[in-house]
Amino acid sequence: MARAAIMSWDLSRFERGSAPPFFEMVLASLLRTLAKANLSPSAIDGIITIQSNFAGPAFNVTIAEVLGIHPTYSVDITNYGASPASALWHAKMAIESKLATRILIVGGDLTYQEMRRQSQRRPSPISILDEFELPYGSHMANSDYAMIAELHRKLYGTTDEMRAKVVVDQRVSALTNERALFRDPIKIDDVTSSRIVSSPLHLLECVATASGASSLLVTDVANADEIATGVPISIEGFGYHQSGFTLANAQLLRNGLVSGIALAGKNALEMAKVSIGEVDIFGIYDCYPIAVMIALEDLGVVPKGEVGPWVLETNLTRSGRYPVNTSGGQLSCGQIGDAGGMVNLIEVVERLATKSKKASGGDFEVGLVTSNGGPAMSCESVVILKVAN
Amino acid sequence: MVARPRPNETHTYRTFWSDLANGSITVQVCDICEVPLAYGTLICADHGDKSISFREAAKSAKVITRTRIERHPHPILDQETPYTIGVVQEEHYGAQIYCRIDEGCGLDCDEVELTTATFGDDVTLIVATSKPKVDS
Repeated sequence: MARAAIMSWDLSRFERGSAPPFFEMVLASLLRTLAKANLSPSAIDGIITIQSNFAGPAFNVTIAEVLGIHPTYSVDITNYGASPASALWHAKMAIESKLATRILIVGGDLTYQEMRRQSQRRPSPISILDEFELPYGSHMANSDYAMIAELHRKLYGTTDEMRAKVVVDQRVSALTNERALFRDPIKIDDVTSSRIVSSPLHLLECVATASGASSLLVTDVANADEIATGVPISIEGFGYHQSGFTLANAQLLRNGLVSGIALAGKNALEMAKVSIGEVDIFGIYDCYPIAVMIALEDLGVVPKGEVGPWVLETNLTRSGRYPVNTSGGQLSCGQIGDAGGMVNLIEVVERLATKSKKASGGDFEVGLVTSNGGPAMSCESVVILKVAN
Repeated sequence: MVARPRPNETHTYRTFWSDLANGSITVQVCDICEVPLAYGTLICADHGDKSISFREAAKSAKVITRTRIERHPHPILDQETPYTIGVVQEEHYGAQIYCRIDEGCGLDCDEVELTTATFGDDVTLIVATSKPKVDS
């Protein structure tokens, strides 16, 4: 029986300004992932794309054409930012049900400025949000997450300084990451004194959009000669939950800010037969620090409402017991559209595959990755990864 | 020329928006279970799509959360900054409504009254304002 594992991966250089032509940038990432696994495009019979604002619908079909291949499994995952973790599970299901033998997962996008430079086509609208939020002056994810942060303050007393600590710890991790866009050390005061974008969120709490591409190769774990670095990574558990697309319909406004991560995480951990205490490393979707904090609560790392004081006294870098986003996360590396979560995912894959050491000794062996989609923690996916035995 | 974002006014919601332009705020309610449904939801998941009606919303509401927008990338909306948007819970049906919150409310005012106001390009929206003081 086939057993799916991640064998190779790539993150392109992210750009805030001018970027290479989109499909050339994506192709380059795919070719690097294939080269590390000593494969040519013709060896690939499965394509899974992460929805791209620039590429538009059926990105998967376009990519197969770009690569000149004829896949037997092909799908575009359209769960907004929740797509990366979802894509991984689709790959596992396709490999293990023998719909394909080698699958490339592809994600990439351009900043809105770069989209306008590379094409005259306007990004497609999101209809429900266009109808009921944008006319009010919604700032989309910025204002939705701002309202989530404001409610966390109101219910649990979470302060600006507490949220800022997440940004500061992730920036510490980014100092040694050459791929990070932001590598200057910062302090809590730097975050809280940066300008307000949408109260209570400060500029340094808001992820910066970037242009870039990313890819992963998933094959049967038995294909040992296709391992790019270290050891293969198996995909052990998955959960997904959509808990309300528009903010006014979000369950988390009614239930004390419990997001879809609670159910998705529970299902993923149960499927993997792993307890939250056994997780060595976390790749938590970090469009804003409040997203990380709510995820840590909903996963059971810390009780609901207590994450603020907890982050102030907890080291979230690689040297701590709870290493979170140890490449600096999207807050330091930038967000490439709905494929932004590939930063969190690939960092965990790298740490597991290269047998990185835990602060307490021993190797990182179990990783947990979350992906958030929609403007208001609307849809969530959680995946559990392990070093394949 | 860039226009102010306005509702799509899809067929389903054309009456809602025209009622709003006339000062009438309505919420979607399932006729069977009397549960409010968010705008954009077209079916009561328990009872089917033919059982929904638009009902007049209560005047009173409570602010659940809010944010003050200091800048906006859209040039017309940016001219309206700073402004506050939020989600309020309407008192009668418990519907959660995305709306503007009048700047006069202040950040600590949670008890509000639902009204309407017309913005640029003749767009009428729901606005939460301070409740008028009642003489004791």
